[in-house]
Parts: sequence; C-alpha cells; structure tokens
Amino acid sequence: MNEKIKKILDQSKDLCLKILPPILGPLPLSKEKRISVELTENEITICNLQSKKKIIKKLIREKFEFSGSKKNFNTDFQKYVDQISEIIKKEKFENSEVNLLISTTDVTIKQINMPLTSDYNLSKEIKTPEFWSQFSDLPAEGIQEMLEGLAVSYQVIDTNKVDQTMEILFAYTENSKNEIKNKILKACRLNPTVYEVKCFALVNLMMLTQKINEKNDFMLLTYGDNENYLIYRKQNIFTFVENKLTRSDITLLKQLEKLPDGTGPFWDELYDRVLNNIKPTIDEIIEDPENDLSKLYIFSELDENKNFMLGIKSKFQDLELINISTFPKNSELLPLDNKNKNKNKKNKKLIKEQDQNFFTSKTINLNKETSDFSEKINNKKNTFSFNIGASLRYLNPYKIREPLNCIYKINLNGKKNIIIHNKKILIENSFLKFLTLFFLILFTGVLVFKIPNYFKNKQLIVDNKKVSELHASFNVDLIDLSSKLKKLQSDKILATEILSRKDEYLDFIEITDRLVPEGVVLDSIDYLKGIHVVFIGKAASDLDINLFLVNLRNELGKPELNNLDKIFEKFESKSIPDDILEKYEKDEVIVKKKSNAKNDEEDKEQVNASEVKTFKIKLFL
Amino acid sequence: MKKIIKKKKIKKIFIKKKKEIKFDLFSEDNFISRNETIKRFYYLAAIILVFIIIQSTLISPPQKLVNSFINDYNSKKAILETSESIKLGINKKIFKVSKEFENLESLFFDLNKSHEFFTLIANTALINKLKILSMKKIKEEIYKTPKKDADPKAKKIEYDLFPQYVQSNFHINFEGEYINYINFINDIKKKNQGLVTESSLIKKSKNKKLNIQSVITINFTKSDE
Repeated sequence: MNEKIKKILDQSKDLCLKILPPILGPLPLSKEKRISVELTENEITICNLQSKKKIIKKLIREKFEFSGSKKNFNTDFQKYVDQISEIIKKEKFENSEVNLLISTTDVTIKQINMPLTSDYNLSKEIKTPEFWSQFSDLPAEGIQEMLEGLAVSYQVIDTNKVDQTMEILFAYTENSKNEIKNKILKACRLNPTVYEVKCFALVNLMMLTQKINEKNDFMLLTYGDNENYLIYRKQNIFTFVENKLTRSDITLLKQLEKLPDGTGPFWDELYDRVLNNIKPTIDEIIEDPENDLSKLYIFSELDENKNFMLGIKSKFQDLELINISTFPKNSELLPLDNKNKNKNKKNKKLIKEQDQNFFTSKTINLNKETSDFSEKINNKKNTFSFNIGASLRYLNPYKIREPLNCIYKINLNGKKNIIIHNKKILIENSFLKFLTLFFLILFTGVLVFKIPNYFKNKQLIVDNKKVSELHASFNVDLIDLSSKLKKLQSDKILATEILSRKDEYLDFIEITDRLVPEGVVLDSIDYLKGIHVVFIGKAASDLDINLFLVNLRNELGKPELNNLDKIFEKFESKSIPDDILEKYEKDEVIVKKKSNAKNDEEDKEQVNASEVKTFKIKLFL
Repeated sequence: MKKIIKKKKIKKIFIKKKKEIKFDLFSEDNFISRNETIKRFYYLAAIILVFIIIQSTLISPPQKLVNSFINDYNSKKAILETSESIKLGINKKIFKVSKEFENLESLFFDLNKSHEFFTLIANTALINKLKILSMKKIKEEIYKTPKKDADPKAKKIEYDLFPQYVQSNFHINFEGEYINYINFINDIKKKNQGLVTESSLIKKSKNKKLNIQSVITINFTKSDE
C-alpha cells in the first residue's frame, strides 16, 4: 500500500516537474534583475546586460581607494561595502541578483565519463567520498572533510545511450575563497546567486558571438595577467589545459607589445616558454587524422597583442589564428619601422581578417553609453569580456531556454541548491498568490455578474409556477368554453336540421292542384311521405288522363297507371270558386283554364251525359 | 489709527517618512519550508472548490431549470396575455350561437306546455274553417337520427339519440274545403317549422266536403323546468 502511494507521489512529482518549468520557468527570467560583478581587492567591475534586447546597458569599473589601507576584504569590509553600496544606489542596482565572477585559477575543471544515471542519483553520488577517490590528484585521505568546504558544480554535456555513459563537465572550488565577496555583496543589498568561472564566461561569450553551437568543436587560447589556459572541445569532450606562466614572462609579454617588432631569437624563446605547456596538445590535435579543427581563437587579457599574434603565427602554420578582443578597436595599425615594413605589410591584411571582437557579429550590442565608455577607457579593456560573458548567465531554476543561451552553465555557489530550492518556493508561492488573487477576483466577478441572474431565475421559477397554474386554469376555462360552444353549435345544427326538414306534402298539395287537367276529377289522394302518392279519380277522356300523367311526370316523378276503367256517370264540370281565382289571379294557367271553362260552357252539357273513365295512378316519391 | 494686526502664518511642516525599502534577499542558510506553498495551494484549491460548489449547487441548478422551461414559460405567458381576448372571443361566439339557438328553440313547442300545440291546432283550424273531427297522439319518442358511421346493411339500425327533443306523431281528422286545408297547413308551418306531414288521405265526403286524415309529426323541446 505504501509503495503504491509512493509510486503515485513520484508520478505526480514527475508530472509537476514536466508541467511547472514551462509555466513558471519564464517568470523568474522575466523578473530577474541581474548584473555580473567581478570583485577584487583593488576594483569592482559591473556589467548589466538586457537579455531581451541583447544590449549591454551598463559597464562600470571603479577602483577602491582607501587611504592608508592595504585593501583587504576582511580588514576593510565596511569600506568596501560603503563604496559598492554607493555605486549600487547610484546605478539603481539594489536588490539585483549577481553573477559573481571567480578566477579560473581558483577552480578545478575536469571532464569525466560516467555510467548513465539520473540527475538525482548523480547529485547524491557526487557527495560520496567514493566518487572523489577516482581523482588521482586528490589526497586519498580526508576527502570527507575536504568535501564539506567545497562548492561543486557539474553539467552533463553529452549522453551516449548506446554505451550507457555520459560526459560530465565537473568544476569545484573552495567555498571559503568567495565567502567574503558574498558577504560584502550581500551587505550592499545584492544577491549573489551565480558564481561564474571566468573561463566559462569567456567560452560562452565566444560561442555566442562567434556562432559556435554546442556540437561544434573549438579551440581557445587565453593568456594574460591571471587567465592562462587552453580550452578545446573535440568530439564532445571538453578539455581544460592550464598554462602556467611566470610573472616575469607575463611582464615580458606586456613589454613585447610596446616594441615595434616582436621577432628575434629572444622573443622566440619567450613564445616557446609561453606555449610550452599547451603546444604539444595543440600539435597532437592538429596531427590527428580525424581533426577538423582549423581555427585557434586567441584571447588576451592584455589590450594589445599584435606582436604576440605575429610571433606565434610561425608556431602554428596549419592553424588560422583569430584574435578576439572585447571592443572594436579605433586603430588596427601600429607604427612600423622600415626594416619590417614589407614583412608586416604582408601580414596586415591577414591581421585585419583575423582580428575580431565580441560585437562583430552583432549578437549583442553596446548602447550609446557603454559604447562611449568603451572608447574612453585606456587599459584593461579586454577584461570586460569576463563580465559581459558572465552577464549572460541566469539562475534559471526551472532550466528553461534562456534568451541568450549559454552552453556551459557551471555555478560554483556552494549554496546554489538552497538558493534554487528557495527561489522555486518563492516563485511558486508568488504564482499561487497571484493565482489565488486572480481566481478570487475572477470568481467574485463571475458571482457578481451571475447573482442578479440567479435572483431573476429564482423569480422566474416562482413565476413559472404561477404562470403554469394560470395557464392550466385558462386551459380548463378554454375547454369549458369550447365544449360549451361546441355543444351550442351542435344543438343549433340539430335544431336547424330538425326545423329545416322540408314538408314535401305542402309543396305536393300545392302542385297537385295545378297538375289536374280540366277533364279530371280526383276522388282521393293518398299520400305517404317519401314513398308514394296514389291518385284515384275520374276523367272525361283518356286524353285527360294522359295529360294528367304527363303533368305528373314533368313535375313530380314517374307515375304509374294502375287501373283504368270506364263508367257512365253524370258529373259537373270542375268549377273554381271566385275567392281562389282572385288569389291566383296572376297565375296565367289558372286564368287560362278559367276562361277556357267559360268558353266551353256548351260542351259541358254534352260531357254530363258522356262516358267517364275511372283511374288509379300511383306515383313513387 | 487703525492698527493693522498681521497674523503670523504658521507653516505646518510635514516630515515625510521615507518608506523602508524591503529587499528581496532570500535566505541562503536553510531550505525554506514548503508549508507556505502547501497552505497557498490549499487556499487556491479551497477558492476553486467553493466556487465550484456555489456554481454547481446554487447558480447552475436554477439556470438549468429555467433553461428547461423558459420556452414553455414564454409561450404560456404569451398565451395568457391573449387569454382574455380569446375568452372574450369565445364568449361572444357563445353568446351569438346561444342567441341563434334560442331563436331556433322558440320555434319548437315545449313538451311541458303541450297544450299550446293543441291551442294552435284548434285556433288555426277554426280560422281556416276546418272542423277537427278527431285528434290523437299516436306516437311519442326521443328524437333520433341514424348513426353516421352505422353499417347500412346491419339488421338493427343504430341511432343517435337527442333527449332534448321529443318527436310526437298526431293523427288528425279534419273536415273542410281543400283550399282551407292548404291554408291551415301553411299557417301551422309558419308557427312551427318542424311540422312534417307523414301521411295524408284526402277523400270526398258525402256532404261534398273533404275528409282529410293526416298523420303529422311535431318536434317538442324538453325544458328543464
């Protein structure tokens, strides 16, 4: 169970480590107010580089001048603090983080090959005496005590997954050497978080400005008052070779540049001495059949090195020597005497091509102030390179890509783990604080925005109940009214239907009176609604019967003569009462019949004695 | 002489206190505890949780509920807004139909007042010089019509019954002139359009008058009284 919980915790930690850097990583980088500082007992050099704009904003060099003092960090602590504080205040660098330059001579640099392991395991392994016992140059005993006072930094510069090995660049120095500088800077309200070795500052600056990427090989020779070494990278192996020079040789090298000509057996001997430690290494590299290194970068702490460059050119015939200086030079030419005029002329063009500075590529630039400053300073111009190189560095706790990415990130601050841990916590705390505030404002805003809507919704719910009830009662009313209307309409229809039933009998009686011809007398009319009418009567002749039948057929339907007989009977002709005549006076047929009846009065007497036909006609309705 | 007294202005001098500058120099001596981070994380989680709870329990349910009925609510509300006019319209129709129906009903004889029918018959016959020899109710039944959807081939015909109407058949025997009889029928029909002559046998009687034997149908209404 515990193992499972541990596994889940580890997984969540890994997930956090993957998620957090891209989110939180840029925060410290954008917020970091950072300067590089080289602090010696004699002077302080400060460089402030604006990484985003890639511009050097400030270059400061100030000497410490304490009257009647030997200039010692321990004895003149407060004096240093006061003077530095004044500069810091003046330049508004308070609270800045500092990349403190430390001399390469105080640092041991090694590259070792190790079995592939995790960063966590490697950091643990480095703390064990067993790890240190592999270095033959260290004493076999007292390693544990030695470790307590050491500031160790390492960087995995290559991993070989096939061989399961990795190349580690490894540097260490004694903590005590930089402790006092740290204290002074802290007292000046600065925050030294990165201790940058000068040689790495120079290499990083050179790689950045000369466009040498992390997979390219290079070779750099540095010489001067303090920094004397050869650094080369070949097939992913970084090698640092110290080139120890005596004080007298350094003095001679300074003198050499003051002379018009640096040739001759005396100077040749000096060159040999200067290159004594490193020439075999360089020759070995050149003679290697697989070698593809053809350039040797030379950086001098001394501002002038033309004679030295000309002097050592003959020592490395197969190499292109590139002299790197910090700032662009005002005059590339030195005064030449007549004797060496021709020889120097040949080399003039070559020297021009081979002279470069860190601002040639315009990867980083000087602003007007720093440009003016660089022109004004008379000596130790080149030593600013270390400050400029160191100012490229960040603490970068989440190890994200930096604006001006440095290849070598060795930090010899003995407390860097604490600093990084604490910085991460501070970043996470402020990020969480920001998130809390952000969400608090956001949620409050959302709630403020939604609350009126909430009350509106609540009211709507109440209203909906009322509306539903009203609607239901309206529906009931509507149904009642509709059914009432429907019933009334159906009743009306029924009443209309009942009332509209046509009494055919009335029409029939009216029509019958007109259909009976003059010579026909009806005895009975038997009417049965919708079925039949039976006429029984007497006629004067068949013609009259026939006429009656024709009339019936035309007006009522199909008559059927069921019975026809003859009898002799005396009967009066049909007389029409006067009141009826008046009523139907407009009826031409009746009037006509009436007139006919009067005209035929004589015939009537004859008919009275005639034969009479009886008939029975059935008419189906 | 007026003495001009000049008031001395007392200037108030405010000494601005310089703000103490806090420097962000964090400790390098010890690892800072993660407690603060965890605490802040819990604050953040609590805020998010509270918001989610408020959102899901307080804000969201009424909104969801409203969303579910809002269309129905709007349509109901729109209907209710016009409900009075709808009711008024229907009531107007009812009033109109009711009026028309009352007019129609007035043409019927009330079954409870059947004497009115006899009075009408007697008076009309008298006016038209007809002599009523006999009058007899031969049938009385609820008004019915064959059902519209009934099978015409069925042995037993099914009817729709209308109990508010009663149909009565009367056998009436008149004596009189033919023309008077026609006038009598017309007068009755004017008073009651529902009168239908089912059968009629007109014969000449010995005294040269007509003997008319009719079966007529009269529709009565049944009032509630």
